Formats: sequence, structure tokens, C-alpha cells
Amino acid sequence: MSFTTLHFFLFLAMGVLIYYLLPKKLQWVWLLVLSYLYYFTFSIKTSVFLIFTTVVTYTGGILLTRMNESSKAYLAANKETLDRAAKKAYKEKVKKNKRRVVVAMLLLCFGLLGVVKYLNFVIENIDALVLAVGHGQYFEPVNIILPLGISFYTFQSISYIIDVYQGKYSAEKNLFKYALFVSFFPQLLQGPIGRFDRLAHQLYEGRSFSLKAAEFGLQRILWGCFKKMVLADRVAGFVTTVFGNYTEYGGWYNLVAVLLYCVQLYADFSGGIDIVIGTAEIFGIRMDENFRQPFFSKSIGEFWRRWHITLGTWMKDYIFYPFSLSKQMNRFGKWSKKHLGNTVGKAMPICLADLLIFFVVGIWHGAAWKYIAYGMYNGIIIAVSSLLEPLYAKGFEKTKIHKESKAWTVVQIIRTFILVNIGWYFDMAVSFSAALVMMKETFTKMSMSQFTGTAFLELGMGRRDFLIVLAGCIIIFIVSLLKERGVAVREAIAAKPLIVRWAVWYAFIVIIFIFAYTGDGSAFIYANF
Amino acid sequence: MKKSMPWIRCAGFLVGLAVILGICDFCFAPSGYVRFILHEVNRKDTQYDTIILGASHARSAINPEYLDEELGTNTLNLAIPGETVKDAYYLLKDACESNDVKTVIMDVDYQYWMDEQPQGYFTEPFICQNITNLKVKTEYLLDNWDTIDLRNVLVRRLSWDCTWSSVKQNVSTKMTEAYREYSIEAAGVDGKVEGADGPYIGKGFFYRDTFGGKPGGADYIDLWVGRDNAGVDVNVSEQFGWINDYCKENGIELICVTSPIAPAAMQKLGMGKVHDTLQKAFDELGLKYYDFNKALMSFVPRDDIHYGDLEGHMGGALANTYSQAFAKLLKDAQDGEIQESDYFYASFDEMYQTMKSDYTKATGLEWEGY
Repeated sequence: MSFTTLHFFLFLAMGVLIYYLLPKKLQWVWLLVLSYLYYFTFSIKTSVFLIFTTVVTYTGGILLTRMNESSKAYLAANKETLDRAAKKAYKEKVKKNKRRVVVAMLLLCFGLLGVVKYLNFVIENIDALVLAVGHGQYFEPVNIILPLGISFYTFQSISYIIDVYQGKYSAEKNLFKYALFVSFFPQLLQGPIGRFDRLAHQLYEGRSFSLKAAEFGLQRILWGCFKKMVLADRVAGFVTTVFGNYTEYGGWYNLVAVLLYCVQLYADFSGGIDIVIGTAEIFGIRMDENFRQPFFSKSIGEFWRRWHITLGTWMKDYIFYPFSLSKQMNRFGKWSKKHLGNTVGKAMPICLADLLIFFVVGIWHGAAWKYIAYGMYNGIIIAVSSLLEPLYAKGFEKTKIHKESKAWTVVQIIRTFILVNIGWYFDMAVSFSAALVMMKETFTKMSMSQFTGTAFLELGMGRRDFLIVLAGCIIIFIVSLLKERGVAVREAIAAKPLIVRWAVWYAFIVIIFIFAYTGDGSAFIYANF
Repeated sequence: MKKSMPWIRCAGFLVGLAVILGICDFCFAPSGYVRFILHEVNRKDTQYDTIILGASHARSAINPEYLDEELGTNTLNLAIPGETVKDAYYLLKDACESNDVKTVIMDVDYQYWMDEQPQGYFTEPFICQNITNLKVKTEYLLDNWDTIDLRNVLVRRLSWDCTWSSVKQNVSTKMTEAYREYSIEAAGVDGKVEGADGPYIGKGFFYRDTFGGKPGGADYIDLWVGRDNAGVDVNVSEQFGWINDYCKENGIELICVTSPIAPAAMQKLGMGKVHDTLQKAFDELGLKYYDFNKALMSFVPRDDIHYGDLEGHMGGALANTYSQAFAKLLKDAQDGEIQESDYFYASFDEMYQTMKSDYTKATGLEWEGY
């Protein structure tokens, strides 16, 4: 049930109607029913994985909370009798037990994710190794269906388990309430990756219908539909043709294809997230934002703080900090400071943590070397940038470039945009080697003669399509610029006189009707993760 | 009042939106043949007892006049270019809402039966958008709600042409008396209906012009080579089942026919195999099926040059001959048992061997086709 079908809108209308007609106490139950119904429309079979992850992490959460509570109770009860050492030993023992539970949860959840998503990748690579060595046992790939949304709900559930382990909050005692947190239907397939402390209470509390929330939600959905239907679906044909048949193209074709892929990915993913957030807004639920004008970033590091924000913060909270603050990294930091000097030595643990998280980001995107390369490409740029920070500072001093000047900001934004687009080669190419070939041939085959004739206009996009995409990008740029300057666009429109705001929304709807791509609407890219 | 103001505004917005989309539809959607023929079938002053369903091949092949003359019926050719079997089901229901239909002639076109029919295909909502009967339209929407794009439900967006010249053309056409009267003159540009390639004769039939030489479209035919191995598409099979059931429930006689395509294409596309597959399918359903691809040359004399294109759009002259022959066959069948061999070759192989000489024998003309 794609977000842009009649099916989804009728489902949503019925869902909202019943939600607000029900007594507040029962509203969350209806949300749970809706969420599972929604998932069943894609696959009933693979919902087993969703249920498994839910039950496992629910049980883990309960166990951890019980351990927390019983240890607190024990310590309180034996406050007088236990000496400091005994207390410490007891706490250590509890911590050890809790860690065992968390490790078990991680093994089960990531193990499941690993099997369904990465097993064939591992088999392929073992087979390739066997082939290279020349002897050994070959393994047959396993026929496994990748359950929709598994990467998203697994990460969401794991964040819950780790938070409970760290005592950030207590576990949810009601299995069905917890199941709703894991499966809340708008976000189930492509995020954003929600956090229990910010999302769960909103899901469970009852609320009355708010026309303003519904209006704002629908407007957000409309904005998402515009991005997806007018831009992403329109450029998909060109991008797929060039990347899918890369040996036949090169030069400007590759360059245009990668730029259009940039448009497609942003419009598709952020458009999908707009629909998700808008849908949740109609139910009165505010979800975490996943994008914050990423193309205004001045560095790759900043780009990842603005692009797929919830994945970035997940990585930061559950991999970056635990890893970089671990005892081993602390020791490594001291060692590197001693041997590599204060500045570089200080940056080394952070660089390693960056490389680790971008390795995970890469592999999260898919089971292929190209994704690992994509992650590592970003990780290396960020790591190297940190290491070269002192050199940059010296360079600024010598060249007298004012770091805060507008001109330098523009240079940084353009530089980041170029670096981001180089990364897309790895993301979209059919393989790692294809990405390298495409990069090389972008330059080696570049010729102005490629613009003669109509060949460019025969790859799924005509002249009109290019103009529509250009106009769409300008609209998105203007809206992003306004948001970047702190203008809340929907609120600003809402503050205008009735005629103006109606005109804006009418115009938007008519634009979608006229210019939305007519053809088989492609599925959302991130819904396959 | 103050409390209900937001709701009034909300309703006002929706009304305004409906008006704007209505204006867009008026300006961007051309007045087409579907609108015309759906009005024709629902005319209050005429009762049709026989309905022909099918796609563009059937529209240019069966002239209802000959059927009516021979059988004493009042027939309407409700074949529409792009009409899938699924469309045919809803069109039949629409026709039955305002007519006492006794017979349905289903033109079985290889392009729609032997190939996978994508669900949510663009002509589906296009034809549905033009159905005026609310009951049938609602049923269509409910049956297909999971594949229809929301935008296509609200307006006839799929036929929109958003250029100034089209807007000018559409508005000027829609302001005419002919448009208001549902005249065929308003179903196309300058009285010419797109894709018909000839004048409208009446009752849903167009007299298609041929070009006097060998027909083109060989490239298109190449795309279809090998599909004879595919078998009847499962969706089509299911959708035809709906038509069959509906006819049975309502006491309507269902006759299936394949109008002949250009002989050169027939050989290339393996129509013998297609025939065997279809014959088996209709036999299993206990339905009458006449495949005019293997009609005797003495019964329906035809050369490639009688077609507008190789894929099977029949020229007007051959269409009249064929319609006459088809009407005669139906009449003979009505009057008693018929001998297949009086009308059809025993096999396609036999036909391929003798068809050119048989054609010359029947007409005194030399074979001019491929």
C-alpha cells in the first residue's frame, strides 16, 4: 500500500475517523490494529519477524527493569548491613547480568537482521574466496525474503533496549503498547527511527481531534507528494537507465545521472518522510525530523547531521559514544597522544569511531561492497578532515580567509555538495567496480558532442521533464532557504489572509495534478531497507 | 457559530478545490470518443439488445448494421481502443443498467488475452472516469481501490493535455452545441476521432481507410512474436469469468469471436497456437467461439492490403464483408446446427498452404500482400 495510492488515503481516512470516534483510552489499541493491518497489506508472512523482534526486545526490557528494580530494592533493604565493598561487588554482579541480557538481545535482533539481510552477501564472498583460492566447499545462496522495514524497526527496538539497560527509563510493561511503539504504521517502513522516550507516550495518550493538526498534517503530506510524484518518480527512469547500463554511457550522461540521482534520493526519501510525519501529525503525534536542509551543509560531517538525522543520532548515541568513551579507546587515546603528538593523538580515537560508524552506516544501507565503500568514503572524509584540522587553521591564517564570510560559506557548501555527489556513485551504481568505472568515465568520456542530437532526451526524460525538475528543485531550494533562515513555512502561510493561503495550497494541489509523473509510480527507495 | 467556523472554512476549501479541479478537467481533458459512446449506450430513446465488447480491432471490424439486418437485432459496438477485459466487464454492466441486453459478442483480441495485463493500467481509470452510472462507477472504484491512483479518481487526469493549444481546442469544442448534444463531431478534433482513421458510420463503427498498399507496423508485430506460448493471462481469465458469470446470472447469451488480423501477421504470430489455447479455454466454459482468423477465403476473402496495419485494424471494406459473413454465421447457428467446414479451414496449416490461391479463386484478384 504505497503512500500515494487511493488505497492508502482511504485507509488513512478510515483510520483517523475511527481513532477520534473511539474513547481516548482505546485510541492506542486502534493505532496498533491499524499498524498491523498496514503491515499485512505488504506481507503477512514477514510480520513474523516484526513480532519476533517485538517480543524479544519487550522481554529483554522487562528483564532489565526487573534487575534494576530488584537491585535497588536489595540495596535499600540492606543499606545498613552491606559495606562499601559488598555494595560495589553486588552492583558489579547486577551490571554483568544486565550486560548478558543486552548482549543476548543484540545477538538475537542483529542476528535476525544479519541472517535475512546479510547471509547471502557473506555466502557470496566466501564462494568468491573459495574460487580465488582454488579449492574448498561452495555454498548455495539461501532463498530469504527481506522483511520490509526490518532495518528500521530493529534499530528502533535496540535503542529501547540500550536505553532501558542504561536506566534512562523503565521498560514498558504492556506488551501491546510496546508493540505499537515498534510498529507504528507511518514510520514502519522507512523511519524516522523513533526513540521510546519521545514517541511512546504520544502514541499511548488519548487526544481530541484538532483541525489545525489535521490541516498541517495534510499540508505536510502534500509537500511530500510533490517531492515524490513530481520530482523523484520523474527522474527515476533516466537514473536507472544510465546507472543500469553504465558501459554504454559516460561523460555528461554520468554527471547528469548522478545529479538527478541526488534529486531522486532526496525527493524520494525526504518526501516519504514528509508523508510519514504528516500522517502522524493528523493523529496528533509529532515525530522526529529526519532532514534539516542537508544541501546547506558546509562539511560532510554536518551533512550527516542534517541527512537521515535519526540514523545519525542513533549511530552517535549507540555506537560512537560507547565506542569512543570505552576503556580501550581511552587507553588508545593516551597511547596515540604519546606517540603521535597532542593534536593528532587526540583526534585519533574520534577518527576510529567515525570510521566504525560509517562502516555500519554503509552496511546498514545494504549487503554489498558498494555500500561499505559508500560508508567508508564518508567516514574517511570526516576522519581525514578531523586530522587535518590544524593544517586548515594554519592555511586560514596564512591566506587570511575569513572563515565566517559568506563567500567562504558558499565555497564550503559547493565543496560538500560535490563530495556528497561523488558518494552517490557508490550508492547507486550496480557494483563497487561499476562505481569506479563510472567515476573514471565521467571525466574520460566527457565531450560536448554528447549534447548534439536528441540522445539525452531519449533516456526517459524529455525537455519538458528537465524543465519541470529544474522548477521543482528551485521551489525546494526556496523553501529550504526560508527554513534555513528560521522561517516556519507552514506557519508563515497560515498567518496570511485566507485567500492567500488557500491560493497557495490550491496551486500546490493543481501542480501535483498537472505535473506529477504519470506512469508506474515507483516504490519508495528506503522502503526496501 | 464561532466554533463551527473552522469547519465551514474547511468545507469551503473542499468546494473550492472541487471547482478548481472541475475547471482543470474542462480545460485540459479533451472531449473524446469514450464520452460519446458511453452516452450512446445509455441513450434513453434507444434500446440495444446486442452489445459488442472489445478493443480497437473490434471497433474497426464489426459493423452492427449487418448483424441487425440479418438477425433483426439492435446492436451497438461498444468496443473502445485500449478496452481491457476488465473494462469490458464494467462497460457491460453499465450497458445493462439502461438496456435489456440479450446477447453479448465478446471480441477476443490476442493482444489483450495472450499477454500479461498489468493491473492499474492507464486506460482502466480512463474508461472508468467516463462511466456516468454512479452505481457501476462506485463498484469499479471499490473493486479496484488498491491499484487506482487517487488523482485519477478525482479527475480525468490521464487524458489531460496541459498545453495552451489544447486548452484552446478543448474549451472551444466544449462550448459547442455538438458537445452538449454528445455528437460524434465533438468526440475528436475537426470531426476526426483519434485512432479511428476514417469516418464514423454509426452504432460504434468506423469505416477505416487503408492506404492501398501493403500495411505497415512490422516493427510492432515483432514485439509480439513468441507470445503465442504464453497462454491466456490469468488476470484476463479471471476477469472474463466475471463477464461469463454476469451473463449467466442475467440470461444473456455470450458469443466469443476473434476478428481476423492481417494474414501475414497471423503466420508470424503463431495464431494456430493462439487459436488452440483460446478454443480450449472457451470449450471448458461451454461457450461458443468463432475464430475468423481461420475463416475460409471463400467465406471472408481477405488480403493484407485490406488492413490499416499488420496488427489487425481492418479497413472499412473488409469490415463490411466480414460483418456480413459473421452475421450469416450467427443466423445459420440460430437456425440450426452448422458445419464448421462450411465456414472455416480445418487447420491453420491447411489455410496457410492454400489461402493465396483460395483468395484468387474467390475474388478473381491476385494476392497483393506479403
